[in-house]
Amino acid sequence: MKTKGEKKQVSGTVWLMVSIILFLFLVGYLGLNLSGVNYGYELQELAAYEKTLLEDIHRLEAKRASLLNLERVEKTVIEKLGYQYPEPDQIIKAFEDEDEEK
Amino acid sequence: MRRKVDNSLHKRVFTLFVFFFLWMLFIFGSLVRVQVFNYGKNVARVQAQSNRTFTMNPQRGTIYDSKGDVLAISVKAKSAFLSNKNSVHSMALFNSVRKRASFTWKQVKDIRNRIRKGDKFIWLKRKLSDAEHERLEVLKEKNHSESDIDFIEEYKRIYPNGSTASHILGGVGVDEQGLAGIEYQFDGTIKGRSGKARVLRDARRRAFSLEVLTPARPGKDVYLTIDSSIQFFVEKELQKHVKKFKAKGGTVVVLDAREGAVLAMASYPNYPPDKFGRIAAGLTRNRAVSFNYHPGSTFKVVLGSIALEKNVCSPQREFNCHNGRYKVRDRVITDVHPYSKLSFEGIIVHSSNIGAAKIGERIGKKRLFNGVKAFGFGRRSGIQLPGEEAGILNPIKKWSGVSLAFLSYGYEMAVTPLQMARAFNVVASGGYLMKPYLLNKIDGVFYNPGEHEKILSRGTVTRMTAIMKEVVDAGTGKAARVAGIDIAGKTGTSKKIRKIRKYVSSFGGFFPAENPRVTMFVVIDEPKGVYYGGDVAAPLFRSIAERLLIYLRIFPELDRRNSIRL
Repeated sequence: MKTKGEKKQVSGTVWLMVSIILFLFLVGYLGLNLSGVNYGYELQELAAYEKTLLEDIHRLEAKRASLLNLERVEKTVIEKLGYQYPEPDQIIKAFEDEDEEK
Repeated sequence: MRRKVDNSLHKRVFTLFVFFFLWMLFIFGSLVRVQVFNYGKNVARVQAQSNRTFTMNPQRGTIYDSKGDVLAISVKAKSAFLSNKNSVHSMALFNSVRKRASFTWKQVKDIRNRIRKGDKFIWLKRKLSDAEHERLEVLKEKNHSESDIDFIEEYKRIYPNGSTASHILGGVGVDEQGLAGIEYQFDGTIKGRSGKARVLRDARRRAFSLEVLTPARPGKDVYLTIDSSIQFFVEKELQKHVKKFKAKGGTVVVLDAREGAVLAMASYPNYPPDKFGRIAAGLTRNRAVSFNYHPGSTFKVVLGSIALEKNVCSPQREFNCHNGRYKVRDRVITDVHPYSKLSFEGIIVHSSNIGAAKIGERIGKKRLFNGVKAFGFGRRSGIQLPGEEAGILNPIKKWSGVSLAFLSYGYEMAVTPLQMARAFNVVASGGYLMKPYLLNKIDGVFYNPGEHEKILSRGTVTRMTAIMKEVVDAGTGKAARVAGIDIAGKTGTSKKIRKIRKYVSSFGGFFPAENPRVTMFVVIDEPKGVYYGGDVAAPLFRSIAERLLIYLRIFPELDRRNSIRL
């Protein structure tokens, strides 16, 4: 048989435990919310980075296309490397087998 | 004693619990006040501080050629503006800006006027180059005056191949809207659709959440049938010949003979598409689809095909060519070289106008009109380009007494170079009227040009090809001959109406004649000095054909000395 004092002690401990659990729950809840916000920051940063990378890809694609501009390539090949277009009689046809030669 | 200690501990724990409970109650009460009673007010305040709704402008789609090489692409660029808070400071700042970025006199005048007027927001320069942006950023850092320079990010359209394919691509305006060519024709598809999004920021303006309100639809990529390499050397040769003959302009259309796809479509003078807004309207005109002219003798291919198809005469039948002068009503038709008699074949090979008029008379008005219409004249081809002309083909009721004769050798009607290329391709393709097309695919879906209409029989095509081959081997088109390969073609020279000594020289043809892969039509507008199609247009056809043969690996039957076995 529990005495009155013991009963009070038990109910106080229960309340304390409930409060601690509630507090831990609140801390956990806040922690989760904070980590959610942090993930939000990270996501936004990564999204911005992805956007930058995609823009870089476009920029590089444009740069590559500009460098492959045939006007520029022809100028470089003819003026700097000294190449020229072949005359018709310089073209040699190569056969792979005798049937094709016929 | 122990009971006393227990009581004291119990009291302290109870007091602590009461404080803790009150604290929790206070927090809970505050939360209820903030989240429930003042919810609407607080949300509005937070949204005003941290939410920003903005428009997501989609990137304009890229235009590629048939090999996947970029023809037009959009990249981010900065546009500079001036916050005009003090006119004197702004003017000084603008003078510094002028040293770091290029401006036209008109732009300088306009900006100065706006500063004087006291406008608060003034565009300095849209879509700066990277170097200009860097220089202006340095100036912005150094600037401590009341007025300020700032930047806005926009998209800039880049055409990496310069003026190559300019008339096909067209151009865009300052707000990236398509204004001409493919850019205009497929603007709705290429530009995409802008969307709306809301970004949430913290007190330090860092974004931590993005909510898409209306999703943006990115612009779709467009693949064309043109081959940028072919387009490049076609334009180069065209430019060379237009300059050589001091002509007003010129056009070349190159078609895939089997499909009707446009491999190249060049017009000269051309222009850099990235400067579209600053180019005179005349230069941006795509002559291949908008230049109406009399086809002249090239039209004899159409006339001959109709005559053979309708069994009007055999290729060997002879016609009286009246020694170069033939009177029809009150008009006299003449030939450059007078002939007393010519066969049907000879009329086309030697390009006799009188002979053509005689063939036309045998065909008759109705049959000729229907035949010409069946070749696609008098209506647009339906190519995916804006501003295409339909040409002129008058209905029979509007014909005069000489119309039949004149139409037979390519007068009293107007055509575009593309229509003529299409007509020549009927013979090249084995008798099919094909719809010429430029679009290869959008968003991975290939374009289907539809069924081809057969308008000539195999026999007519074979006979017409042989005649056109003879034109190049022994007739007026000798200058188009390429060693080792059979070319079928026809020359044309037409006089411009109401203009003294102004001509249009043309040459159309296809190769290899026995198994055509390429159909090409060449037009030179108002050449100076020599003006016959055989002297002006045929050599251009040959120069392009020689390069096309190498590029497309259509190897001519070469001399054995130039062959090796692997």
